[in-house]
Amino acid sequence: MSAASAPVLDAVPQPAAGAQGVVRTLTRIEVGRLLRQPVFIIAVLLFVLTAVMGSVNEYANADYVITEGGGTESNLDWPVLPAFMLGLGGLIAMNRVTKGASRAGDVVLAAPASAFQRSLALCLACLVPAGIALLAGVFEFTRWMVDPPVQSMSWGEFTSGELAAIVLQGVLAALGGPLLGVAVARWWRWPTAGAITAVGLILWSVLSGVVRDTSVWERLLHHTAPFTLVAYNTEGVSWTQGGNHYWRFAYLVGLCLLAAIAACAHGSTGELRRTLVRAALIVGGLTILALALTVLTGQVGHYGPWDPRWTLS
Amino acid sequence: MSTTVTFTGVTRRHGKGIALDRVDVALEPGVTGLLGPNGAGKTTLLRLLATVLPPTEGRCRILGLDPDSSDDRIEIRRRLGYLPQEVGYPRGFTAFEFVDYVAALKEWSDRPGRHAEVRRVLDLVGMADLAGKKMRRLSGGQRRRVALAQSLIGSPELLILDEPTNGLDPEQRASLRGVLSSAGQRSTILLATHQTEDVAALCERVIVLDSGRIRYDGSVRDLVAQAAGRVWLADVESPNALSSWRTGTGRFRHVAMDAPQGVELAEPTLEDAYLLLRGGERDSVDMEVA
Repeated sequence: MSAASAPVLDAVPQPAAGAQGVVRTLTRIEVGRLLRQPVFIIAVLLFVLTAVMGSVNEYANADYVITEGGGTESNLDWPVLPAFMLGLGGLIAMNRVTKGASRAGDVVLAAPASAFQRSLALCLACLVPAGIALLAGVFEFTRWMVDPPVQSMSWGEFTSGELAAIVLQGVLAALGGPLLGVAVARWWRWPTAGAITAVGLILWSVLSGVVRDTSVWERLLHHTAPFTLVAYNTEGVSWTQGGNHYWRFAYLVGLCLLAAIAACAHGSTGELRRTLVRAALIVGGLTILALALTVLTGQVGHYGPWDPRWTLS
Repeated sequence: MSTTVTFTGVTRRHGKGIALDRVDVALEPGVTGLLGPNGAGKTTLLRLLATVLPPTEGRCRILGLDPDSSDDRIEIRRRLGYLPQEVGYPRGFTAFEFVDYVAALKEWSDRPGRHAEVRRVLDLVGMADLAGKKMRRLSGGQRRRVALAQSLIGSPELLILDEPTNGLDPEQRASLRGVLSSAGQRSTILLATHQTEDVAALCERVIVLDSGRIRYDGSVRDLVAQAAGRVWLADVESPNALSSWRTGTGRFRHVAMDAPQGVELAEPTLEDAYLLLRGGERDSVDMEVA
């Protein structure tokens, strides 16, 4: 800027386009920011790497293969990949993206785009990790269908629809984690809130799998967690999780919606806030119902056929 | 001339403290300066104008609209530009991306039009050449100019600037004055600053705020005129002066409510008048308030 330069104020700016398209425009910008977020880049690279490695390893075509020492490998573990990489990585990345956008402070607050529109754009950006997980999930599921695994104890127990629901649970984890990251950033401004939430989710998921029996309480403990394994293989003991996977899918959809509503409710006022609270109550109620149906319907959990505790025949 | 802003009996409390106390202000097109010591309530007044804060009491009309109404508030925001005292920047943004982001928040949804507008305002503040540079790599003055650029998006009818010349070198400040004086021909600009020379150079009118109350609201010329005969040069320091300092010539410049007889009077500046106004308040001496 030189003192001699003439200001170019004569240029007539184009009129603003109004409220329409604001969310779309902001979503594009937030997607761009997410795609450049280092944590997200690493998470996607790790996800792609582990997914590819999983496809080419020697157990690729076996959902349950007895290994040395009596352990097993299971393709039903697949949802852990998007959940861990894209869900948790996306949580931290979107948490940072959200907090970064808030740094502009009063500049953002004095703009006509509302807090709801800004939060909605951030929530829509969370569809990116979910989309990546969905692509991988479709590939994995197609592979299962085209090239059925051998020794399919679990395949005998799960229908194609249930298997699709299991795959989609991993996709929902890749959506719910980032949505939770936005909500946490909106409501808790302290620097490590995103990381602490991620650790909390891991602990919740791990602790939910500690108990393994065939009771309703066991299924409740497992399925309450946002992410839980469908098949376990630890210390020579294999275990297939019971419950209704269609309803669990609905339960996870409910959790994702609750996270999005929580994110959008921050900074909302008046009628919009009342609408969001009503929506949260309705979705919350339906989510609890879906959890109850997940636990009370479907198959019970069981050990693998090579385990002395095997109960299904 | 149409009134852009009317504040009537506006009070803003922060906890038990009062940041603004029954303030009455009317702003019209042109550049109005806002002076006051730290903690005077300048930033609170600007935040109220920018609809970032609601008043605790009193009535506000901005651009003919009521900021208490949600729809009106959004409409006001469409038509104002705001440069806060401190602006944070999302990590990883370039100067262009930051201004583009704010333009999107200001509902510039059409991409080519938005980008053209972003280039225009960056050019206005002389940052066009550095548009692709990351914000974190820019100097403090350059960041300030980028922050100023975002406030100019859409040539707003009401421009609220909180210390816009902070961190700018003299050449940049001179250029900024050119931008603001041109903008002031069609917009209402409120310029809060500690730089009295910026107010003297740009503003016809000045408001002096202290302890949440307006101490002076009138023309710059009248305020400076009140300091006439109260600024003088002498070879020795005067203990009774409100303010005195040794100038580059080695002589002392004094500012006081009453100049001694027979001293060499100096041409007063806005800064002298401001110091007198502040000193007058401290000494409970009534100065004429326009």
